Amino acid sequence: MNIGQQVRTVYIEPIEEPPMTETPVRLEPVPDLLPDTRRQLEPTHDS
Amino acid sequence: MIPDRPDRVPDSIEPPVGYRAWFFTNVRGASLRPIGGRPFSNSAWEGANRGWVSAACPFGGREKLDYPPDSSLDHPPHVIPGEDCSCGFYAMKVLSCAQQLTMELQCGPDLTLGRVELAGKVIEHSLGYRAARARIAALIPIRGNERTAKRLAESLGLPLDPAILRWSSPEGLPPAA
Repeated sequence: MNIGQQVRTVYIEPIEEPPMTETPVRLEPVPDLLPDTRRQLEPTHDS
Repeated sequence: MIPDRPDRVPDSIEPPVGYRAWFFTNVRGASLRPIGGRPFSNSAWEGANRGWVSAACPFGGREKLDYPPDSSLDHPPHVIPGEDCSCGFYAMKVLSCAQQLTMELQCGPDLTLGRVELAGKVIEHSLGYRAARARIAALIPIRGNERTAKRLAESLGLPLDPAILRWSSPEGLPPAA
């Protein structure tokens, strides 16, 4: 295969994609540890 | 890390794209053989449909050099592809050049074109590339040969690019699109 004259040399390091998992993993629901802010957001009738 | 230049960072993370042709067999499993390669020898392209494969060199080329280099060898060791060697994976820069090659060789139906990605040490030439690593991104069917190309692509687990016209002009010019 004739590819002509050499021009330059470069170094390529492609970023590999992470391997695919064979079976989807079900994630456990994580409890929300933040305090319930609804009570704090109640109207204060402060006008 | 870059094998022969540990002090150098890669020039790019984007693999250059090239085009080339292979002879194929689809009898006992699909396999691709470079044009000009020995008929029944193992091809370095074996497995390039699934991921990166590395080129080999019969003249002392290695993926990385041992230090100090062994000076007793007939051929001085070099990193593949060597500037003074002809080793490495070959690909043309543009599809029409790979297409023209198939016409010049008057290749038959056991020939397929493909789009490849190149990595590692890559020597850019005026018309193409030589590279240390390669993988096949897609096969390119030639008009009239789509069914065979589709079967081959399915066997290799590769996508198909749009079909191209077969070159028929003796001047090497493609027919009008």
